[in-house]
Amino acid sequence: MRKILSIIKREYFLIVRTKGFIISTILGPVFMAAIIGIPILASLVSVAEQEKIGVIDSTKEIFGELDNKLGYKMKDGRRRYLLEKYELTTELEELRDSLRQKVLDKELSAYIFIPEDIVNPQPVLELGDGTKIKLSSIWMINFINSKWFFPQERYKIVTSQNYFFLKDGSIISGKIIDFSSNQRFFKLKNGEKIVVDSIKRIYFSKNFPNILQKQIEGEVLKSGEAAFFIQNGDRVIGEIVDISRGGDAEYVSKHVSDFDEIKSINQAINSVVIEKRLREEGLDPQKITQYIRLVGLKTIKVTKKGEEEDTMGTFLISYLLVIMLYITLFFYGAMIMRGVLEEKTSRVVEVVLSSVRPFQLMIGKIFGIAAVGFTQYAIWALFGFAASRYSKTLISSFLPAAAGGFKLASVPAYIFIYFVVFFILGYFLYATFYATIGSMVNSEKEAQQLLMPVTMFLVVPMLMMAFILRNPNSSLAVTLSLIPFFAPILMLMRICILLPPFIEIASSIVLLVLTIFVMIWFTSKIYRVGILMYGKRPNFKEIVKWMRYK
Amino acid sequence: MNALEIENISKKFDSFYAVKNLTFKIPEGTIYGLLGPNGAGKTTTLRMVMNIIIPDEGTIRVLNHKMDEEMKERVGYLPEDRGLYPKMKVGELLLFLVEIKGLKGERVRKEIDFWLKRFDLLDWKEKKVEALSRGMQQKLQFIVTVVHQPELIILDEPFAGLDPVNTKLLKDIMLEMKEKGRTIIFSTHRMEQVEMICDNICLINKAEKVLEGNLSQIKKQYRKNTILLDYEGEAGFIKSLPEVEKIDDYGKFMEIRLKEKADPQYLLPKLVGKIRINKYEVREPTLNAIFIEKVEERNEKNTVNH
Repeated sequence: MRKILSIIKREYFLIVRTKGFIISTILGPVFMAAIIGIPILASLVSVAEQEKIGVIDSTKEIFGELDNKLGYKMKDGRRRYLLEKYELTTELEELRDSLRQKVLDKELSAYIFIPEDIVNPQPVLELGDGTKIKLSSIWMINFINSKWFFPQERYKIVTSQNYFFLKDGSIISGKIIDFSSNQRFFKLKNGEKIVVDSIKRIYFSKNFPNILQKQIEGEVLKSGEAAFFIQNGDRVIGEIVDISRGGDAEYVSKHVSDFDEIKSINQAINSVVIEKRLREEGLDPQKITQYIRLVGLKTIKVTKKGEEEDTMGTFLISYLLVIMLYITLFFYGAMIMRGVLEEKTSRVVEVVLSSVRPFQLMIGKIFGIAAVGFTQYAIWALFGFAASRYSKTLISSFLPAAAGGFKLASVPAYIFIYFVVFFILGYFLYATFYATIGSMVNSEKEAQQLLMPVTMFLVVPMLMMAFILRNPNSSLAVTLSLIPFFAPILMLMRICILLPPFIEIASSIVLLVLTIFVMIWFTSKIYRVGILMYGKRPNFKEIVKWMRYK
Repeated sequence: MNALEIENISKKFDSFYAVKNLTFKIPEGTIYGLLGPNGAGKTTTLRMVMNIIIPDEGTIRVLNHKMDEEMKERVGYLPEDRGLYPKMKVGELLLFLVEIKGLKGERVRKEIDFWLKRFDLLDWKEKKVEALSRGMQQKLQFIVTVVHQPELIILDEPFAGLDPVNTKLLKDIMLEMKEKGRTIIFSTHRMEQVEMICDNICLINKAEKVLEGNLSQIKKQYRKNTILLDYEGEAGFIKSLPEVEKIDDYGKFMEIRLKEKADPQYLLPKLVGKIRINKYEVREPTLNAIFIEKVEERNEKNTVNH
């Protein structure tokens, strides 16, 4: 015991004094804080500059309102975006060339092109021969369960308003009603209503030969193709392309990575266009906005004490704890492995073994580094405590909206207790793995290959995170969180999301403890042989032999 | 009393015997040489004494006790693969290694300083081990082995890789320790070192003991039928002389083994005039010759048996 203590002391003081330890201790929280803080700081620090943006408005109707929408001002009172209108007096391409040049010359920081059909985009029909025709409107109806309308064929062709052509060539006329509900209806002229599957609108352009109510031979074509009938009875086959896109505006700049700017411009254009569309239909945009105002969903966690409103703060802290557990298990494990490897490659191990048993050396090392880990966590906890006391003032001064989310005090204490428990158990489990691997190999390079399965054990739970978040009590989540190799991370994750029944937590802890004992026994068998073996990395058969050595 | 008693120990790695039925005893206060070619099982034997490897069979008694943690404190061990913690400071390293030998306190610090001073390393006490030269590291390794004043000192190939200065230093320490009543066992395959300082030897080959006993008694068993010849000239003819059993020619120096009844007095005239003789010495065979003979003898026996 006394000797183990000496070994622990040596490990501890040697590591705690290293630059690596000091740097990782300081950089740990700095790194975490940076992830949260930098974006906030950056947005505050970056001085917005006025930008001149050219606008080609092919519709001649958008510019005014767009200018209005993008008219917000910066702190110094100047407008953030200065919009400049360019009339389409020449050919479009010429105008675009000249604007492109202006962007290159930095006269403009960007230009926006607004196409003619932005308000009512026209889909394009591509014919079999490759010709493209802009369409103004088509209705496509998929009929369901209708004896009357060829039930075996779900895909029916339908053309311009009021007249619909069927496979057998017959034409029915009717109206599409009830456009908004889940069930769509097709109302025939005689008043009969038929439920249909889906309705799509296709627009025909002016120059597309009008489809008349002529007797035409209809046909349903292969999927992906649609047939369109034209006046003289000919049939063209084509595909509707670009039905949803069409009518996109363009933002042309030297760099397109300023997402904030692109987003706000896009939003401005969208709201102008949507308002326009609504007005064309005779609707009041303001009322519509009111109607479609979203409602929030408050998240409330039921606990024994009653209900309490849970902000994202709990989740964030839990998330942070899981990430910390994951990173530190890797980090300290690698530290153990490197320590064992160093003793082996420097050949000092035999000198030490002339005083202690291999098992004492291994245990001393594992506990020594555990002490290092605790020291580091203790320092971090102090940081965290200080941060939680001042964070509210700190954060709210930067970003008032975020302050509400940071109620560290609202994280229940049991989460921290379980974190400590699972960190300790996880540490000892993975320590044995890393010690074994360190004793088996001769260099870190050799170790990489053997580390693969260990890394998998740590990475798999992290990959499962999204799944566990959604289904914390699914049988898969329960089973995986009982498997000792996954338990430290997965069980902690589950505890953070939704406290599982105590029996599950207890059994995972018991299983972990048992596994740790088995692993220590197993490791000590391999370790004592491995640390004296130099040369080739042992294969599996040799390791089994080592275990049988007396 | 015996400082070390080894009885019938065997160690098998897979199907291969590293040590087989080895028995020997080391009286207190003597220097014992464990001899044998590379791979004979010397290191395995010493590791078993240190309890680093556990024998499959047999018993080992160190200073009249079974080897355990406490006994390790009374033993100093210099492994064949030398090594120290490169990142530790010299002083810290010694303190740590003495601490795991169960010693602490002011007296230990004084002892450490004493040895560092004696080996001219006191100025390096606060330096990291990796900053030391190879020669200095070797000296530090000796200190590590003896600083806790062990009663039994085990040295595995102690002279390997040493420069002449450190070789002499180590030899001096060994003799000094012996004078203080300590017991030393060391392994080597270099015979001349053994002849200089050993009291007793054990010769092992291919895991088994070939020869054991008091060095002077062993030599006495061999008649004075060996001639050491220091010569110049073409001496190839000597091999075919009727008196000669075998020769070991080093170019300027030759060890001649005579046949059973041959008389060294009658050989000398046959050489005179043919080569230039600087020295002609009649003596018992060198340990080297005995060693080679024994090993070859054993190997031949094995080949016949197979």
